[in-house]
Amino acid sequence: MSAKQIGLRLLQMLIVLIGISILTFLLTYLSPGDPVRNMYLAQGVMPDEAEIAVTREEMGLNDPFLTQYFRWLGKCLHGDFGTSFALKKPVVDLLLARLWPTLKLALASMIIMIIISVPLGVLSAVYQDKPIDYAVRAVTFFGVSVPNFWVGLLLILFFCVRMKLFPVVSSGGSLKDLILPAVTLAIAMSAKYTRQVRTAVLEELHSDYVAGARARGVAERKILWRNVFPNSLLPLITMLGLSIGSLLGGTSVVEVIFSYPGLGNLAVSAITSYDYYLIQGYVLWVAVIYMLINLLVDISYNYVDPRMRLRR
Amino acid sequence: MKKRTQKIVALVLAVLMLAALAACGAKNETGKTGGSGSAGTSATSGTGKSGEKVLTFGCQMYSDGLINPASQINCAWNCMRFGVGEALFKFDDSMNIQPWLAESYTTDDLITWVIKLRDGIMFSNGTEMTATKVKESLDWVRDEGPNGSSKPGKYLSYDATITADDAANTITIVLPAADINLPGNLAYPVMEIIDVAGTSDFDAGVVGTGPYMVSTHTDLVGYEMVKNPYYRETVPYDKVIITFMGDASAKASALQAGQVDLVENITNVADLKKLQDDANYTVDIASGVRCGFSWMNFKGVLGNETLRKAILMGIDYKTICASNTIGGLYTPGFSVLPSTLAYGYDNLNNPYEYDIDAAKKLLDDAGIKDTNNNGIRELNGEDIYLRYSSYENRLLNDFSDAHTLYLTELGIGVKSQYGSSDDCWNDLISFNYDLDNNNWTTVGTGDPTEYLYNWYGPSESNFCGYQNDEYDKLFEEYLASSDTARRTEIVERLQQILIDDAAVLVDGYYNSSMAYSKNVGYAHIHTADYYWITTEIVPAA
Repeated sequence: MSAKQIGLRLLQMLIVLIGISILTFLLTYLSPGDPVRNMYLAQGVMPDEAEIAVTREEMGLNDPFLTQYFRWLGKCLHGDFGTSFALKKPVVDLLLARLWPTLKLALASMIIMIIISVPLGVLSAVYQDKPIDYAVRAVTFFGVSVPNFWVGLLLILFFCVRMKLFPVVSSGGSLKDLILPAVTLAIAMSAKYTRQVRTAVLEELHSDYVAGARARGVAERKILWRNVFPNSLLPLITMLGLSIGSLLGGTSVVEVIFSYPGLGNLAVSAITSYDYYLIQGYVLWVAVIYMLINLLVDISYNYVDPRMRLRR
Repeated sequence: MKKRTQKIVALVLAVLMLAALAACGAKNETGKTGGSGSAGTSATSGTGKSGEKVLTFGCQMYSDGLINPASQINCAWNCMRFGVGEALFKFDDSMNIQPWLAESYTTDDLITWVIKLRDGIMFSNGTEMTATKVKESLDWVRDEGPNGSSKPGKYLSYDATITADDAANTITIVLPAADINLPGNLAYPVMEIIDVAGTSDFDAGVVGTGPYMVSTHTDLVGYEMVKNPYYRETVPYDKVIITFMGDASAKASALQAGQVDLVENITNVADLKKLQDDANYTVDIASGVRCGFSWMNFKGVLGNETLRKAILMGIDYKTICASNTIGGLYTPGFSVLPSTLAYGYDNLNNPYEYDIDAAKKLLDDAGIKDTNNNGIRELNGEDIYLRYSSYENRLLNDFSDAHTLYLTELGIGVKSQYGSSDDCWNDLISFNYDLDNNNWTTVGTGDPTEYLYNWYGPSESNFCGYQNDEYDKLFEEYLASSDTARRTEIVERLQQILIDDAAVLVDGYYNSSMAYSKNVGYAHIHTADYYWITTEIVPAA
């Protein structure tokens, strides 16, 4: 991908971001529920309507939609994404505080997922229709079917409560705290990836060049890892990109179960408390992440597949 | 060469990634030292190194667990709950005012209050708590108030003046208007006394007079507290490690896994029962100050007194509270004020105890019958369908479901209007309901005035259309009276009026709880949920 193409993509990203921000702001604005009243109700206090009216005015929530939107947009351009209604802290600070835990969890999940799915997928493809293939496919079917919150709860029950090997609450930040939430996420992702790896490798294994290599007496292992596997990478990288984007947006269910202080947890609390600015900040973050990851994935194609470079 | 370079780069990236993962947890983003092997991991509990007594405590995280009393009410509660902050007064388990940092008070007109402070109180940084320091704290929280949501002006007027006399160790507060409940307001967590000049980090390092002080704070994870060396009583633990947890099941699991020794408020019936049935754990339960109740819309079909009475007689509130769904989380009751409060609950009479047959007879005798045999009784020729607004908070929807079943048996139809708390509130203020289920703090500052306004005829917060002349007259006398005994009598009578008029469908009184393992000798949860980490909590012998 040339510098010009990258530049164009970045410009497109900006336009898409503006569109997303308008849409999210509009939907939040139109949604039922009063963030000020919810703020007071969350404190267990019967809201005084006069007080709510004053607070709403102070927060500028009585202004027309476009006034509120452009005021917010203007501040965004100065790096100020507003202050959370419920938590009374700058949105940027709240997102940044949870960014590192989310990154760690995403990284750990991806590593575990790759370690599990690549060898299993290749094994399953190489031994197609043999017992090992059936076993792997059965396990992946199970992995895809079970909800990850159920897996998480089971892991807590066995490894934390019964065997006391790991902490129930994974907020401490150490490697030990990270393992169970990462494994919970990795199990579902591995199930999908294993099948993808299997499909991609099988397709390559049935190609003419593989038959030709075999005919020339090239060792099977060499064919597999030097030729087949690299050629299988393209669709896997695309899926990987989507998964990274999803992980970096936070995985609410798993984070709530393990009390993990990530972006997903924050998003859930923002939505339930109608915290407009926090919701906006979170949505923009997720949008930026997905678009950046997609861009990186597209750029990576050039390095993974020489045919992409030669096309230029 | 190029391939070799690519391989080296890939290898270096992989090593860096693994190193980043392995190194995580030592320091957080803010640069503060993490809770070490404390918050969030299998913490040291019981007796640590050198015989150090350590308590590991799991609790919900409110407002990111920060403890600045001026910023948000939740933060003020955190500060007091974690044993850092104390107020001039506190509440006992009947919500009566007791002296705390103050020794006594005098007032002749409820406008000028002279509060005598305890001698010898020290902040955790070794500074003496003088009258001037108390004045500074109260002035500071009011100055900061408009920037946060604690609304300290509600507890001590912005127009009140405070004078400090260090020699006599008193403060004199002059209010703009008489307020009989100033001590109760000063007992509220927002008004806790902190060393303003001695505090550098108001978010997570407030200096208070409590038995414990903050040693380290890890953002979003918890606190490591150490004992206040200047505390006036013996502090049982050398260290308290507070770990934030997502929900009740996480707390229960963490307790059973040994990650913590003490948790607060298990709000999941199954987990609560499991801990209660396990000899390895002790569960202490207190009926709190929250009351779950359904408003009855007097402007609709429930303006019919016979119908209201029959509804109350047709719902077995005791069985509901003891059910598998609710059991342990609510104390059954029939008055709008919780039974633990000192407002004469035991003297009240409930003429509408559960009796389904009597309820049916009452309706039949009043001509409210099911004449078209569709299972629903009619009133004024129309089927009775009650619009029931409710939202998911502290089992309100479960109560509403249970009430619906009983009402169906009685021959009264129900149209459920379940939504968010905001939806429920909108239904209430627009009178778009017949029954509206809510859960409210009744006496946050020990005084039920604000709460009882809801049934006062001329009140703007009367969202049910209730009108009773005797109630209004007594309530006005209550507002004007400064005689504590008379006020208590009036509140008792107001409750009875509401009961006799079948004005409110009470769910019950929401319980608070504390559960602990055998590493803890004793722990107690108070009626006012402001006091968690106290010197009452002691290690096992």
